[in-house]
Amino acid sequence: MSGSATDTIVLTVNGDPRILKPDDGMRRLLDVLRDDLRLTGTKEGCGEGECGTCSVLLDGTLVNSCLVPVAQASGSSVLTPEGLAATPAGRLLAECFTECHGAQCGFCTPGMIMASYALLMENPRPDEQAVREAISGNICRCTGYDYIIDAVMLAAERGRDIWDAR
Amino acid sequence: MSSPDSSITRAIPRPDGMAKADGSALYVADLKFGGEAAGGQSEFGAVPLGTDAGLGEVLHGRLYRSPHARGRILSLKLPDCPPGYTIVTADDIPEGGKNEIPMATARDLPALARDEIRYAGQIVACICGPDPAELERLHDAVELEVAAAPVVCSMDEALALKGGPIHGEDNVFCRVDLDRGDPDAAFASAARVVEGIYDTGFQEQMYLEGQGLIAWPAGRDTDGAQEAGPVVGIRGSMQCPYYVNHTLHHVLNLEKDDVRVIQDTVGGAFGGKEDYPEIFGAALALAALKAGKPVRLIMDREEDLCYTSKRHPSRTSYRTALDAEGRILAMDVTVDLDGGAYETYTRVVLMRAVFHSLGVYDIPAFRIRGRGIATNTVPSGAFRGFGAPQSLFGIEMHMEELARSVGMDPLVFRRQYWIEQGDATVTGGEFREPVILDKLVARAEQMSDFSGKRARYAAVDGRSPTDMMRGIGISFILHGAGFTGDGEQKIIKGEVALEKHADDTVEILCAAVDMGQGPQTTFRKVVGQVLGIPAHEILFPYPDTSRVPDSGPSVASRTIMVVGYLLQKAAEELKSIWKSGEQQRVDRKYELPPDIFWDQEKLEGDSYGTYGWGVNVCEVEVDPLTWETTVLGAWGVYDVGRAIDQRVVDGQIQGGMSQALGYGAMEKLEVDGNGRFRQVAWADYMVPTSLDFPRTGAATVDNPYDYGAFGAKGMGEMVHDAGHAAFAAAVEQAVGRPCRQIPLVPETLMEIMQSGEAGE
Repeated sequence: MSGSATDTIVLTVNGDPRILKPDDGMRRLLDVLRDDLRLTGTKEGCGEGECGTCSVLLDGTLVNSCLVPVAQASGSSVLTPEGLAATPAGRLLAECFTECHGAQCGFCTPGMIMASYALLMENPRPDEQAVREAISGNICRCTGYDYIIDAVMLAAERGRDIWDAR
Repeated sequence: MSSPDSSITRAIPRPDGMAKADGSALYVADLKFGGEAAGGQSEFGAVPLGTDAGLGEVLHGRLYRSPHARGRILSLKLPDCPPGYTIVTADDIPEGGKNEIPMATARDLPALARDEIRYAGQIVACICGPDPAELERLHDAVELEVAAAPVVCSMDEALALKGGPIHGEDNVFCRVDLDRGDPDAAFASAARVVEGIYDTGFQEQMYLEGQGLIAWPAGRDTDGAQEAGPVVGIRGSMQCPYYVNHTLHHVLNLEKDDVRVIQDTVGGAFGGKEDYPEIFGAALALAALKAGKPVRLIMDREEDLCYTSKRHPSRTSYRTALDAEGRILAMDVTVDLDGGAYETYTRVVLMRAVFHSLGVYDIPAFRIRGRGIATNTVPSGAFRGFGAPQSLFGIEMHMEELARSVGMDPLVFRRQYWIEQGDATVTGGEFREPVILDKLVARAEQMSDFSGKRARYAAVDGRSPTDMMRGIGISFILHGAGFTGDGEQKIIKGEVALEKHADDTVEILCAAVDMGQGPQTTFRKVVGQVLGIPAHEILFPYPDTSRVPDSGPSVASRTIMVVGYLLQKAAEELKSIWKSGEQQRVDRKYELPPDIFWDQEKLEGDSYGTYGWGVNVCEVEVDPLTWETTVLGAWGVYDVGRAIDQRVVDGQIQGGMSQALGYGAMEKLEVDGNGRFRQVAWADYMVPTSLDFPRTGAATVDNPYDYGAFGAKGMGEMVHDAGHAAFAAAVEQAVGRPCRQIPLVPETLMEIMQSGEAGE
C-alpha cells in the first residue's frame, strides 16, 4: 500500500490522473469509480468479491474493485469498462459479445469483458478450457456461459492483429 | 433444426448488446441526477439505454424489517427524525388506500405490517434521508415489540399446527384437486402398487443485479396545485411495470394514470422481479410522497438474499397401481408447496404444479390433491417454471422408479404413455396441436446417444470400489404457455400498439420487459419482418406506463407467443393502411383463440392455450469416495413452435439448463429455527460457474403454432423445468440407488448411499 493516512491519493483512471482526499483511503475503489467519477460501467453484484461483476484492471491485473481500498490503488493505473470500450480491443470484444449473444441481461457483461481482455492479453490463442478458467471468477446467471465462450473465442480469432501487437 | 424458409429464425446481433457490453446501458443504480447527460447512443440508434432521471436531489431509502419471525405486534416505537429524514409505517397509508399487495388471487400480504408479524424480514417501516450512516442509526433505533409465538419452519411443522395455525384453521392457503375415472377401483384391482415421495428445496433466482427502485413525487399533488400528470413516479428493475402501477394506485388510493412506472435496464430477473418490486415499491412510494423528494433504494446482496421471494419448496408423493403386465392403471398424487408466510402467488403456482404433475403422460385414472401450505418463512414467489419444475421432478423420478420396478428401459417404459394429439388434458381440455415427442427424442438420441450409453452403463460390472460411477438420465417436459386458466382473457386482456411516426419510423408500444430473455431482439424482428424494415431500425423504448398500453406482465412464457402475436397482427394491419409521411397508429387487443374454454370454478377445460414440449438428457460421473458429481454432458431438445431467433432460443436453452443443473446439483438453500435463510451471502449459495458444467447441446424442432408470432410458442421457462430430473436420473443409474430429493450435493448423496436402501 503506497499511501499513508496523510498522503494524497493519486490514481490514473482510463489514462486520466485523479486526485482523491486522503481520508478517502479506505473507500472501495468500486464506489470511487461509480459515485465520484460516474463510471457506472463497473457494476456491483455482490459486494464481497464472489461474482466478478465489478472487475477492473489494476496495473494490468484483473481485480474485484469491491475488495480494493482506494489507497491501495494509489500510484496505480486503473482500466474500467469505459476505458476499454474506447479501444479497438474493447470495441471488438463488445461486438463479439453482441454478435454471439454473450450478453443477455448484460449486468455481468462489462466485468466479463474485462476478464476476457485480461485473458487475451496474456494468452492470445486460448482453448475453451483456458477461456473457462479465465472467466471462472465472473458469474453469469443468464447464458450458461456457452455463448460467452463463443464470443471470447471469436474475439481471439478476429482480433489476432490486436492481441499479437499487445 | 429450423426449416430453410423460416428466415426469421436466423440469428441477428442483439440490438441491446453493444450498450450492455460497453457499459453505457443504465441500470437503476447507474441513473444520474441533476441534469447530467444521459447515456450515449449505440450504433443502432434505436436502442434505449436508460435515460437521465433528471430528478435533482435523491434520498436514500432503507427498509425496517421485523427481526421477529412470528407474533402479534405489541408496540412500534420510532425514533425522532432529524430534519431531512422521514419514516413511514402502515399509519401513513392515506385514507381510502388499502394496506395490501393486490396479487392475482390473493391480497393477504400487507404493504407494511401493522398488527401481526409472520416472518423475519417482514417490512414494517421505510426510512429515507440524505446520509446512509444516519439512516442506519435511525434504523437501529426503531423498537418493535411482538408477543412472540413458536416459529413454523417447515411444511411438516405447519401441518402439525405448531404454535397454532398461522393461516385459517389448518395452515392450508389453497387447494387444487383434480380427478379422472375411478382410481379406487384401479387400486383395488392392482397387481402391484409402487410409491415414492420426492422433495425439492428453495431456489434463489440470483439475478446479478439486486432489487432496486426509485420513487418520486411526480408534481401533481392531490390538493390540486398542479392539475395534470401523475402524482407519483417509480422506476427501476422490474418484470411487470403494470403490476407495480396497480399496487401503487391500490395502496395510495390513486387512479391508474396518477402513477407513472418506468422500466430501466433489468439485470436479470427469472421471476424474482415479478412480485418483489411491487412488494417493496409501495413502501418506497409512500416514503417519497411523505418526504416530498425522490428516494432510491438499491438492495445489497445480503438483504436481497435474505428477504426476497424464492422458488417454493415442494413435496410430491406418487402412488401408482400397476396391472399384472406392469401397465399403469391409475395414479394417486399429492403436491404440497411451501408458500411461506403469506399466500401471495401460491395458488397460481400450485395450479401450474398440479396441472403439470402427470407430465407428458396420458394416465387412465388419477386423483391429484394439491395444497399450498403456510409457514413462517419469506413468502415464496415466482421463479422460472412457476411450479412445473417441482411437479415434473416428481413425475419424472416416479417414472424412473416405475420403469425399474417393472424391469423396463426408462425411455421404452415412458413412451407407452406419451400424450398424443387429441388426448384430453388433466383438466379435461384437449391437446389440439400435433405432439412431436418422437421427433424430439430422435434428435436427442442422435445428439447424446442416450440409449446406447444407458445400455453400456447398465452393463458395467466388476467395478472396483474406487472406480468412477457413470450414468445417463432422460426427462420429459410439457409446459403450458401463457397464463394459467382464464388469466389471459379475464385478468390480463393484453393490449399493444404500433405507432408510425411522420418520418416512417415504427415504434413498438407495449409493456413487455427485456430482462435478458430477448424481446428487444425478437419483437423488433417480428414487426420488422412484417413491414419489411430491418429489425435494428424498429424503435422499442423501455416501457413507461404513461405511454404504453398494458400488454401484461413479462411472465408465464407468454411474451413472444401472446404479446409477439399481437404485435405481428398490429404490424399486418399497419402494413395494410401504410401511408408514407403520415403519423399512424394501430392498436390491438388480445382475443382468445377459437374453441378454447375454461371454467375457473370447476378447474375444467383448457388450462393453457397450447404447450411447449421438450426432452432433456444428462450424463454424469460420480466419485464413490467423495460423492461429488460431475456432469459430462447435457442436452435439451425442444418444440418451441418456431424459434424467432435461434441464438435467443438456444441462449435460453443453455442458460435454463445451467439453472436447472444448479437446482439439481448444488443450489442448497435452507432455513434455520427462526425461519431465516442460512445462506445469506453470495459465498454461501452456490450457483454454477464456467467450470461447473459442460456446454448444453441445444436444438429445436419446428412445430408452428397458429396463434403465436410466426408460429412461436412460449419457451422461456420450460428450459428450467426438468434438467434437474435428468441429472438425478443419471445419478440414480450411476449409484444404483433411488435419489428422491434435490439438490444432490455430496453430503446428501452420501446419506442416500449410507441409508441402506438398495436399488430395485
